[in-house]
Amino acid sequence: MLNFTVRRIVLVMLVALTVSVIAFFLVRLSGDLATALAGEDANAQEIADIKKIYGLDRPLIVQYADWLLSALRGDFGASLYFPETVGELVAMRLPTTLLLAFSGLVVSLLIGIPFGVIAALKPDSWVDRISMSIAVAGQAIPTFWMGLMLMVLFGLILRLTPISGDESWQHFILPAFTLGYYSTPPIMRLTRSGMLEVLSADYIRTAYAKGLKPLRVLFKHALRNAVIPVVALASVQFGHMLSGAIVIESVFAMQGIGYLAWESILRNDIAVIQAILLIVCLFYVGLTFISDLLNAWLDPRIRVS
Amino acid sequence: MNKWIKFISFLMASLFTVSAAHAGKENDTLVWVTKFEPPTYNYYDQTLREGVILSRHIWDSLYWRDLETGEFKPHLATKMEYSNPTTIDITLRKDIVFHNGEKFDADDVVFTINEIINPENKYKNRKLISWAKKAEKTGQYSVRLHLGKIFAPAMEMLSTAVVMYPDEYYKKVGKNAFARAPIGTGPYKAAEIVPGKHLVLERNESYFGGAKGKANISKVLMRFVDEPNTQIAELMSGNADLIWRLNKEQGKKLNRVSGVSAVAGETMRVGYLQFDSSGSTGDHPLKNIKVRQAISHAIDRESIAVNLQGGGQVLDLFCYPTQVGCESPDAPKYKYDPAKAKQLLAEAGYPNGFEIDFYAYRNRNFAEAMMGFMAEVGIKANMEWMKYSALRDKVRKDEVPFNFMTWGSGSVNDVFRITSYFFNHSSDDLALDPDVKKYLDAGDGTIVLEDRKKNYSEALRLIAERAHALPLFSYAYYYGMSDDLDFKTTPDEIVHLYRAKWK
Repeated sequence: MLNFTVRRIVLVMLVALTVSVIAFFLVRLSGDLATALAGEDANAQEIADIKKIYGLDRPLIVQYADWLLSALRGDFGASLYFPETVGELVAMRLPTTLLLAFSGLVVSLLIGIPFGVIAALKPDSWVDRISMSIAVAGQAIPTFWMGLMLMVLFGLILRLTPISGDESWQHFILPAFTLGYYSTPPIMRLTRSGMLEVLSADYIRTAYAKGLKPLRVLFKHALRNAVIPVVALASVQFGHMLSGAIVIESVFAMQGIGYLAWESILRNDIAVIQAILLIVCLFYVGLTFISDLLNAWLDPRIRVS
Repeated sequence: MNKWIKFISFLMASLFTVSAAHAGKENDTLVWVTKFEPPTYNYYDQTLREGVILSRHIWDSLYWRDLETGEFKPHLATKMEYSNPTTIDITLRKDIVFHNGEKFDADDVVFTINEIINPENKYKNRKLISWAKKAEKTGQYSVRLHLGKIFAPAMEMLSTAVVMYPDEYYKKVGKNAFARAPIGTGPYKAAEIVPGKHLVLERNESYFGGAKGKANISKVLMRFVDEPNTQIAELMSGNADLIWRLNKEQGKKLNRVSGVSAVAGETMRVGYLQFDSSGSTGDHPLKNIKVRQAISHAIDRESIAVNLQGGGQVLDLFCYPTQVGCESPDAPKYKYDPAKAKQLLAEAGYPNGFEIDFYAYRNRNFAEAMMGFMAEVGIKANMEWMKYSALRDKVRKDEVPFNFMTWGSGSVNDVFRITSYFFNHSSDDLALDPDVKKYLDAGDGTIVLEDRKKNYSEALRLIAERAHALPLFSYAYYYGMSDDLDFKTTPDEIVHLYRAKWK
């Protein structure tokens, strides 16, 4: 188990390093940083001044090495755009994204698991088909469109929720639903297939034969076992939601790291983009790592392989 | 069951409470929803348009360019005059106080200018004053500004973009703390800044008025929403009074909704086609003047401005009409005439047209329309779509023979900032025409207005005659506003909120 854990940690570090290298060079390929920083009507001399002031005239490899050494010390440097350091910016914005992703995950579990169970109880029936239609719609509808439609219905016509912002818990209702609904299908499908498998197992038949009430069999014996892989999937979905929050935060004007990433991409604020990519990547890799460890702990065959 | 009913009632009540929080005429609060929050509220340390707009509200310049007449009027200064072409003597008003009660005098002017000029202080918008050499105090209310070399639009800059900071407060709190609690002399005070959320401006009740005039509305709430459709939803729901930078279609839709309306506001931003007439990017058909003239005749600029943009005016000169020096009565005009375009192409040796890469970064629909017009006369333009910074960089490396770009002149109402820049053999100059440069240098090298105008007129005539670039049209944005609001747009791309009032 220790050997497995060490190998996984090394892999996590390599992934993070690769992401940082790709992010660093990709952002530079998309245009000159000093030009973006100086604004649209800046002339060549003004841009040259900016390059000098921010050290952007140094060789790329030197700039990257400089950044990496600081990042290893926990210092992600200064934003080229905001007066705050990158660390301060991310610390300011991360709670909104975490809360949004967590709320979205709760929504997707609240929709996905019950519908998955219902579909499994009546496979190939109209209930199953409706559940699957809901799942397909969730993945087919673009999140920005879904968000705008919900905004029009609940914010503009019914006036039940705020339209945009992140000042109160009410502001999180529509974005969380939009984000959660998009992630519902895999949870629903996994719950359904897990339940179908468990419901045909011998111990469930035994439970029924012992005269246990159907609901007790369903929730206490079947669902508890069927939902284990869903928990592992949910952790990965949480990573998806962190990165998927970019669109939602932009549509609903929420000041999370997704929106910060979008702003930074527009302005080529390299230090912020790199930090966010690295943080989201570490979250993602970390969650997968925990999921792997759990699976390995539960199933010795994985450790051996 | 009773508990559940209570819970649901509480939930619904909470939701309704939120949506009831409206602003507007009733509580004299104008809610302006815009796309970006300035990265910092230290004006000189950012380049974003929203920050530029705020500078006109929280702070003041020495003079003020009248928005209707273009005339420079005394504001924080009572007098500004050249003692020689590189020195300006400034006399200040004696009755001005900053929002925190600090008295405004020569120390503030000297501190502001010298602080921003110094490259070691790393202000991102240093360019606003970098044309000056230093400011020198000559009395408690008098300052001498040394330019180092002639800078023709100095008066323009001192009447718009260069605003004054309080020296004592700034030195005491420092650059970053100043950004969190900015202090100025302007018609509004920054009353509340919640980064990432909103900014509240409160009317400066003791404002001196000056050439700008006092603010009409007592409070402004500035919110930041990236998505235009969300902005529109906020306006329609009554949560916003003013939004801007909408396109024609969005404007048209808003005009069908009761309680709100949209108007097109022309800006100083100029759309243009730039040709590599010097051939610095290599050998291509655009080196031939007849080809450039053919393209100029092939594109129906009026149609694009009217049908796709829904505003703005077709331009014949490479500048915006209100800019100082933007006149040239003898310059040729290129009317839409595809037959003439074909004839010119044939004369140039391209009777069947040719193929060329065409670079652009914004308004894809405009670019595609232009490609369509060129296709009609046989020119196959292959679109190369890029980000602004990437394209600008490529142009400066002489890798772009033909591009569609825009230039806003940084809201500077002087051809110095557009014509002189693009044709003075800088890295953005693809014409490299020595005759044009000669006239522009002569115009830039004097502060005598008539001499400037005469030289710029000649330069503009040559640019048009030799078809080095084709000015397309001025840009226009749609502003969406509540029917309660009386707001007038201005071409400087500045939202002058202090002029807004309730109907």
